[in-house]
Amino acid sequence: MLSCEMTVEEAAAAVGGRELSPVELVESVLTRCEASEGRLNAYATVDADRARKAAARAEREIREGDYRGPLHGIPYGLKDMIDTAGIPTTAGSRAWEGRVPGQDSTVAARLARAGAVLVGKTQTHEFAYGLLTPQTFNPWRAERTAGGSSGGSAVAVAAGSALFALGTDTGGSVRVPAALNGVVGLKPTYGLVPCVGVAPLSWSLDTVGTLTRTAGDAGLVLRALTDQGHHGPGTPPRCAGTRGDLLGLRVGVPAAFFFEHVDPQVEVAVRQAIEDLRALGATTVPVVPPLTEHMEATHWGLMAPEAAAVHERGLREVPHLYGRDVRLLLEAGAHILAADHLRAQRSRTLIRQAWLGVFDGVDVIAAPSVPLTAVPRDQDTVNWPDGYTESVTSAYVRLSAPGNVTGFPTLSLPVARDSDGMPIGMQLMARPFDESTLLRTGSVFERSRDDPARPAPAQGTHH
Amino acid sequence: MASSYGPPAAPQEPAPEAGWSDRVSELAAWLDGILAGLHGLDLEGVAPSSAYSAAGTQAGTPDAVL
Repeated sequence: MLSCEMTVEEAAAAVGGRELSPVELVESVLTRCEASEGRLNAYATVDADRARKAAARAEREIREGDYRGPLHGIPYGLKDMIDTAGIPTTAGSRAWEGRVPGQDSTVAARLARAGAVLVGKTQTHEFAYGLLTPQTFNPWRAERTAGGSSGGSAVAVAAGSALFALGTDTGGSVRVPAALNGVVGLKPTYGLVPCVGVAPLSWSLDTVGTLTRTAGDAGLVLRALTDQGHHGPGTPPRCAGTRGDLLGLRVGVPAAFFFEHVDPQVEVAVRQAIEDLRALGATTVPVVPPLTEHMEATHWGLMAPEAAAVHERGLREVPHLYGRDVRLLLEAGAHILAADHLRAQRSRTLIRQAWLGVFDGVDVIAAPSVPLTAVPRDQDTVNWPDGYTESVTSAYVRLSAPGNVTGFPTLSLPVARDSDGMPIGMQLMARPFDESTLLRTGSVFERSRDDPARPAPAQGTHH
Repeated sequence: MASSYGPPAAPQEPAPEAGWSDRVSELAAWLDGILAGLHGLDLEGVAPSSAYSAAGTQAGTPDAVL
């Protein structure tokens, strides 16, 4: 196995045990980048020189006994929404072309402190306002969408050109590409991970999340992102747990909403995964997610006017530099009344309270991450057998929005593949700040399976 | 007398294509239609959730999470 194909946990064990040099590891990832970027375009910027210098520094520090913990010497990608001092951060927009931040975002600074090695900035749907990342290609089938908006981050991890990556999630932008590319996506509880130095889309919904090959890796990265410097080096992730079963875990199975207008192959795979959780000791409890009929309105009522406010100056001064799809959404969002924005905020209060009540009876809710796998890149709409038609974007955001509107933590895990070999994702949602339960459930589920979390073939399987 | 709080000058850039403002209006109308669904909610006594209360943000600490 090439070192670029390792999980973070595997690489950390090898680097910490001085069996693998960070220099070799980073070189392996850069070689994979060279082989795959022409086909996938996961990165907006690769800074190989800087990565090599950081790897050499990590190697020297570890050799001298200054091991900082499991991310030390591990190569990663950062979504191009997240500021990095001295490296262009353009949010995928011509409006920010040539922008080079003077200082790191808080998350970039925390990863640097943990010793992680930045490979480059990953592609995003412009200003994260979309779910497709059209400039990036799915590593499992190039003619399918990569999803987004953190499409570059998901593809980099899926392809082996990063061991982990960060994304942002305002309406599923971590979980959707995670599901479509067969990696693990964690959207933490709203507010847990600082957004300082991250380009906003919608202040009251934005979350920085992780893209990894395993839930265990997500725990390692989340620990570094939330670590404020009080922990000693090498502190093991408590989320990993020691028990190999899920005894006592109560899994809520939605009796409505999450399995409506869902592709049959996705439904069968997710229900099978829920059965697998049961076989591991969990109990299943039927639940009815409340107020779902108001989810779309609440989400749009929050996001559209906030995004318009974020870009008020840009739309006034350089409107021609925005892509047409994003400009249209921003200009329309500027028409929303303050009264409607406040009504959405009050609706969110109701929804959050009602969903908290569901978690009185369950520990996690399990559901499909997205209603269908990666569609062809030129497909715009989804036609369901009962005649219901929706845009591809609406389909992908539909099951993700509850995690953003409630702010609750949500984890997307690859659980199966459809008949075309495309990944199928299951999402698990927990009560606020209960990431530990999500990650433990995900880790136990992964360890029970015989398909290791390996990247897509370097040369691709389909064109 | 002109107000200092008036709207900024209109963008000097031309609209990106003919019918652009119609497209913006159509999307704005669609959003209005979606948001109208919230009018039926009983929100009496319900306070808005701010950015920082959306998930009880301040209640958790990193140590409590992992």
